[in-house]
Amino acid sequence: MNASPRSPKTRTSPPPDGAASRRFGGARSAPRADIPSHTLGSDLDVAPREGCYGCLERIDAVGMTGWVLDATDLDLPQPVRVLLDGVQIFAGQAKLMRADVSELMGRHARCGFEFRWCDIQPQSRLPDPWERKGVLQVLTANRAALPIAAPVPGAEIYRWADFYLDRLALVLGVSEVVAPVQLDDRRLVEREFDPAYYRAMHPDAVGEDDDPLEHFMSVGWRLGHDPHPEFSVRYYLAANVDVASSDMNPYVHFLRAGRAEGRMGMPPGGFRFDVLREQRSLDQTITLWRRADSFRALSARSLTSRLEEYVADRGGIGLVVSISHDDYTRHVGGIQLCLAKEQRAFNDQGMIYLHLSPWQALPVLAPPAAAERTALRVLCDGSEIGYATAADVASALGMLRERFAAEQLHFVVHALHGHATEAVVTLHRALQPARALFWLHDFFSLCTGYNLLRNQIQYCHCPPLSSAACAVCVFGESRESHLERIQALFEAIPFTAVAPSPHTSALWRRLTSLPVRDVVVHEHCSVLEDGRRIAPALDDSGVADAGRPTTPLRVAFLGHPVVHKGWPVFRNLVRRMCSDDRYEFWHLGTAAEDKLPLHFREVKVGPAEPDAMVRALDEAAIDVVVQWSIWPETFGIAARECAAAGVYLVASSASGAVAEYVRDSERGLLVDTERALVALFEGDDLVARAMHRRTHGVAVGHLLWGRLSADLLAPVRPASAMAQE
Amino acid sequence: MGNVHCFTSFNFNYLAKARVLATTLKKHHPDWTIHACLCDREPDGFVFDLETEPFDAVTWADDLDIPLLSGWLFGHDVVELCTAVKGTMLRMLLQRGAEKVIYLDPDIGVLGSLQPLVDMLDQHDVLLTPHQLDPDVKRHAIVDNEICSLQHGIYNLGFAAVANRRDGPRFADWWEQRLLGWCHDSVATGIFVDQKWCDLAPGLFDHLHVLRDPGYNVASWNLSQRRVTITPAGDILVNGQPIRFFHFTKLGPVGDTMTQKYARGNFEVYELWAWYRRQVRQHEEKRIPKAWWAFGRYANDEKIRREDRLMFRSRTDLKRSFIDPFGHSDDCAFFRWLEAERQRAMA
Repeated sequence: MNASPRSPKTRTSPPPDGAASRRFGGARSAPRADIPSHTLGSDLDVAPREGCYGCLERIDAVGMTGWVLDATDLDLPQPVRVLLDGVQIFAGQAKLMRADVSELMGRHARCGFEFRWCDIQPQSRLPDPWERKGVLQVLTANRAALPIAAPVPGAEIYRWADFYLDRLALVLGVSEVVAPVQLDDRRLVEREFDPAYYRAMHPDAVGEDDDPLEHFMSVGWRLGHDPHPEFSVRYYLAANVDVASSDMNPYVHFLRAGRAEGRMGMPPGGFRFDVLREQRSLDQTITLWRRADSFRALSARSLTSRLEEYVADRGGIGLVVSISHDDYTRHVGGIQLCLAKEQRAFNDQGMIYLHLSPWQALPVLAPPAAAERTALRVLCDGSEIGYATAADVASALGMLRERFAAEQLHFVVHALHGHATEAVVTLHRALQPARALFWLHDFFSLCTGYNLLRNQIQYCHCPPLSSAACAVCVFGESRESHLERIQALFEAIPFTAVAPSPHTSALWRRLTSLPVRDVVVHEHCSVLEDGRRIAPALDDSGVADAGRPTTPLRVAFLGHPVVHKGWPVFRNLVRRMCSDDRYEFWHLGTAAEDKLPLHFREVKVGPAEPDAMVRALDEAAIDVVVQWSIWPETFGIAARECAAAGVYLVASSASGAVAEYVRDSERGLLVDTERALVALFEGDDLVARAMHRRTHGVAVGHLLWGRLSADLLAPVRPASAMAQE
Repeated sequence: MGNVHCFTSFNFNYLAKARVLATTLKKHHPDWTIHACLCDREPDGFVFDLETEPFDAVTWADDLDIPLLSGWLFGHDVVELCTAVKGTMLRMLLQRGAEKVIYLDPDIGVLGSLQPLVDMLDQHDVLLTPHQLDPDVKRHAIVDNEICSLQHGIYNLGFAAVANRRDGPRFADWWEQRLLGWCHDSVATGIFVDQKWCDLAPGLFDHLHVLRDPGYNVASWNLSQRRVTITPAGDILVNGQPIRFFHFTKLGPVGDTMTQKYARGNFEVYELWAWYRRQVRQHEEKRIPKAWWAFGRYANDEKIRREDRLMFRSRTDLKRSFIDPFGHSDDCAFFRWLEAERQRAMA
């Protein structure tokens, strides 16, 4: 895990040798200093409370031994659980007689424990080899971690564990994890059923007095309700035709036989598996996007006269032609908001802002064959002029340009989806602008897959066109002609590329050799800190000036629930943690999705309310936002919104500009893997940090919006105006 | 005729898949000659046209130089027939002078250059790929993979490569002879179509090489021990070696289940499957009727039952009496005889 800022808890220096030195807890907490950190468990382990002593002394090919006791009650055997990368492999109680400890304590101390590898728990399902980290944790009461005195490399531990698990399975035969036959279905399910989870997921179905297990066994499984966060009834039935046709409770089948046969309870590839299963070819997607209606195009003459009329009325000092994928006045989103800001800024400078978006939205470039006939929606300063073909718009621009000084003409490309690059060149040639900007809001200039997600599930690093990866990618076939057309566009127009973040600038430069005059960095917005906020007390909480230490941590997802923004990862987190009363989950955005136990609040960020999300975060008293973008984001407005609202951001370390912002601003935490994200929530560290923030206060501020191209294309002031000043 | 020849064997139900194989093969080896061995006849309204197909040549089952051909074809179900012709086809290509011949199953997708095979055939005469290259450890994997291989054959005969010298023609001759008599799905008697025979091959032929590169013949039966990765440079690797071809066995729920069981979180495997499904869809042929197989019916359009095939192939008297058991449109003599026999048995 990549902690930013670094986890506050570090282990202290080594104690002197001897039995007494094995004590730990409080200020004396300490194992040996030379233990490699990877065997100590994660940063999230909690030190045991004062009065609790013990350690894991030995791990070898036979097993492991150690001791643990609670000095306040020597007769109470302490529970011990051993976890390997989060999977429990041993559990028991420390109750073996320990002469050495007894001597130290001055009375009999039954506090030793010993686990032999050959007794490894049969139900232990260790992670797949490529997911293994080798983190061994020995936990006692209250999830407190014992120090490990004699560390062993994780690979060794796995070697021993695998060795005995494999033999165990062979000896047991097919019934390796199958319940004893005398166990009836209900008792069998009861052993692993998660009632708190079930209740949290289906609050409408299971009332306070109802028995969740009874509900699941009678009707729940038929309704597709899952008994456990790691078992999907729907998936199991879909993947196992024999079970589906038998009308049997799928979870009973899984526990009795399926698991032992190697069948899985959840889609094995996670959300990526789901995306691939539902995936359409690019051609199919294009067909789906095709509009059935038609549009009425303005004639060349009426377009020109309308535009000339508008310009005559308005009397601007210059003209900016801006191109993007949709009408920013009609659609909600970060880019659309930026365009609205940009338009207003240019208008303030006395410039006219003419915007062009395709009538037919497409996930690709418009076909080259009819480039000149591409239908465009024409807006002037946000007002509709009408629809016209690209050729007619170009001829109108040719006329309009005469009204302005050549240095007051500008050309800005924000997004090319749905446009024909050939038509864009024609428009540029007609306008003959002084400067042309190409915004890197995404990576459409490098691939049809604008966010560089191979098959829409995995960052691809933009490999060569001839690569095997491109050959199997849903965007691979279209990429060759796409790149040829993009290359021709950049050769025809002397663009200055504008990256919204240093990360994007560096990445784009590294991934392409498209000819540009320059690459500049210009951020959409920044955060101006203007105060500190102690978390407000909620209605049902305690003392206001102590924040709200007792209420659950509020964890939110922001925006559209889409894959590339990490919605499935958040959904998985909610499923796994919904029965943990330390958390409460929220979704602040535009579309409520799924039957998840979370609070939804509709938030629409638009020109009228650009700070709507900051306000919503504040009003809902959100503590933590999880943004698990799986592509290299080019900017990350949500990250700034969190910063302004004083919300702690947990993000993927592979989220591009978002990760860059978290790292640079130290306003959150970067996590490497989805598994580590779940571990973060399972541990106590996140809660501790958030509670600390609640009670000590956090910096808050407000968003300072930039003016995008208007900041970069300052109008050339007429000499007369300067003289007047 | 020289250089490299590659063939696959299929009926029209597998046309889309065979097209994917040929297309992906052509992409990497435009200079190879790709043969379709078609164990079928064209349905009405469809012509298999080499001008538009990704194949360079076609050999119809009806054109194989096999004695008593019609009766021999009749004695096999579709899987048996599509595998039984492989020996004869291989021998015919070698006889016509092909220097190197590679067989690939129609449900294979080629994802990398196969040039190393051609180079290996300069040293070895026969190349085979075992189903598994690494021992399994999990019990269910041992059952699904190793025990299955013990029953169905150690080497996957979705692939074989043969050079036209020394042991190459000897292997082809031996294999063809066995397949003419015993290319049967009869696991209980120790025979599984063309595949189980090749368990004997390493013992019989000196210059046979067992190819142990994990990039070849990746399939659900070896995914438990193979991990597919895609590098930032865009290379697809299998256990660190470049991928060559993937065997997309059983496109559908059964294949999906076995793939998920062993690929588990290795989502790159699902990417390959998703790609393959798209390719197959793109190459589908709507003019082929569903479940079409010309040798699945008598000339009077009655379906041929498996037990009729089994009886026919087991009885020399029937083979002698009925030279063309499929019959022709105005007389299906074998079918008539069978009906009479059935009625006599019932009476």
